Amino acid sequence: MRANCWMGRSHVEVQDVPDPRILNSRDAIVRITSTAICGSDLHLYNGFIPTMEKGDVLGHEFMGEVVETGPDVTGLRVGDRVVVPFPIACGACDACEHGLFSVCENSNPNAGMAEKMMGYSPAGIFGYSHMLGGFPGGQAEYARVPFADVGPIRIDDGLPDEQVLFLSDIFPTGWMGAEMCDITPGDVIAVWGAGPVGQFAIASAFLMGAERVIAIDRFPYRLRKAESSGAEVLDYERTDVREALRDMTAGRGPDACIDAVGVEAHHPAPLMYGYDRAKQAARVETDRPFALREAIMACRNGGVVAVVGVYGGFVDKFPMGSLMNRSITLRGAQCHVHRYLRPLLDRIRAGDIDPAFVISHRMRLEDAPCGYEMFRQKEDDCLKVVLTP
Amino acid sequence: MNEARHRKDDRPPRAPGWTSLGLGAAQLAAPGAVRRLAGVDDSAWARLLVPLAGVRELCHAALRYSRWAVRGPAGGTVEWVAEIVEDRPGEVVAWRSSRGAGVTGGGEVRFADAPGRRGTEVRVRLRYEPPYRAAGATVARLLGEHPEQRVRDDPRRFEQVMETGEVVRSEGAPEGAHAMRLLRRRPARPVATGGAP
Ligand SMILES: NC(=O)c1ccc[n+]([C@@H]2O[C@H](COP(=O)([O-])OP(=O)(O)OC[C@H]3O[C@@H](n4cnc5c(N)ncnc54)[C@H](O)[C@@H]3O)[C@@H](O)[C@H]2O)c1
Ligand SMILES: [Zn+2]
Ligand SMILES: [Zn+2]
Repeated sequence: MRANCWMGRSHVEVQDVPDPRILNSRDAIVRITSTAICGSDLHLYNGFIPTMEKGDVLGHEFMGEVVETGPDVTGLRVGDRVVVPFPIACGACDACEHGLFSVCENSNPNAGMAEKMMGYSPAGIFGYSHMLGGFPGGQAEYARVPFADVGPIRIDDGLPDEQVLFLSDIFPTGWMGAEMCDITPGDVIAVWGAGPVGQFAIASAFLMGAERVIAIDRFPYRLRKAESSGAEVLDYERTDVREALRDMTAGRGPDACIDAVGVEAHHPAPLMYGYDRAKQAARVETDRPFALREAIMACRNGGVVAVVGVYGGFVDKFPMGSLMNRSITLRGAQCHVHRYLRPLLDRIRAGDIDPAFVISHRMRLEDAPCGYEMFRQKEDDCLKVVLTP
Repeated sequence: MNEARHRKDDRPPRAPGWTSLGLGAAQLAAPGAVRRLAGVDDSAWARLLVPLAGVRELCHAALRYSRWAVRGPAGGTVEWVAEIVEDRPGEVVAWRSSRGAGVTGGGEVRFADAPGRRGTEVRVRLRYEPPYRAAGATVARLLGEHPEQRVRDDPRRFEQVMETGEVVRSEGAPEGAHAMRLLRRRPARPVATGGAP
């Protein structure tokens, strides 16, 4: 089959690889009909996530048709149309029983590697490094889906791929970011990053009853998209974000802040950017936490900072004093996608939201390398690329 | 355990190490704890345990003595006889190698209810001391450069089998949790049909 493979930093290639086959009895093989490129893939593309190997198949946002099932798969049959959540979860361990699917205890065969970096291991993830399992991803014609009786959600009605594909990751991720903010009526929520994840966080915050949502980014087309969802916007290259947020909230600060930027944050001041970029290059620091630092400093006393942007390792100059003295709650997670599949599918069906609003480009799988480059450079107003095998 | 599965198999097991003996014995020592962990009272679970721990270890553990032949990655074999020295169902199994064995050592597996009835805690402790140079080298190779990781792999696989029914595999780590993968990786792409995983 054809699959988009990681071939080193800034290099992906669509190659011929063997078709996947069943390795565990609860596996299913899915013929992929739609798949997408995620901001998380850019972290791999740019070489910020350790333990990638040349030839790894990328992609963790995909859906398709079940073409084969292992002998112990229940509740799923050949021919079913499914969306697959990006974390792999067994459904039976203590974490899964508590709804913490992205930290499933059983789904990462390389848990030992992750323990070295993080203390304990999170769940395995499709196409996301060996430390997170060594599972091939879904930017391909077919994928093997472990625990097929736990993760995939069946889409029985005629909802088009584009409306349900993002249940695999970014819609639940944005939703979870907003949920972490414990929104009550009247709340003001600030969202760093107006990428696809930020866009869903903004939309979700409004659905949860936020009074105002403020989006922070530097790309006008992304800020315009946020505005069309009802957000107020700040261009961090033109405005002092903390000053502006203070003014907009009459000196109090937003009630909660969402970091939808992650490890590769950009900073308008070359000196600041250079400081962390150099440390990253020297491997003293792995992550550039500009958005995170700013979100903590900007948050109101007693507020919540929700981190859904992905971090890989360690950060520097973390404003611990601000966090501790001002009673701020810091939360983060890879999305526990499984939790949200059913309720968010219901939202889509009810017409509360049409997730296709983030799609800017549709391409063939063969054009994945071009898609990665456009998305990284934010060329041609690129917001979200959907690939069709 | 079912008698039918006590068939003799003299091929050396593929490097299960001391841990597997312990975990194999676990089912015999603490059927209650294991069953609670598994959530069922069915011999099907015992069947699932067999591939994990190896038939020989299980039945030999039951017979108090077991003969061990472990093949290292380089092909060398170390043999010894282990003796069960403590066996309190639901609590502990401990063993040590019999006098005169090529490898001296021993270990124990302890079971305890986790606080708040949150499952069963399994603790594995291992001790080995290779007396001869050759055997020593093989045992060292067997444990590899990450002996602790090696010892952690087995309980991890054990939990997977108990909770999900089998050892979880990925294309990048087709044999499941295995310290070896810390050293030698294969790309996360499908394994060719017919090819050895
Ligand atoms: N937690 C999860 O489960 C999960 C799931 C999916 C994606 N993610 C992560 O979410 C993040 C965003 O993903 P995406 O697909 O939207 O990516 P993206 O690259 O399209 O969006 C990131 C946005 O952040 C903006 N940005 C950069 N520096 C900034 C700064 N200092 N202040 C404000 N904005 C800044 C960029 O201009 C860009 O628009 C990534 O880190 C991704 O890995 C997490
Ligand atoms: Zn993603
Ligand atoms: Zn689990």
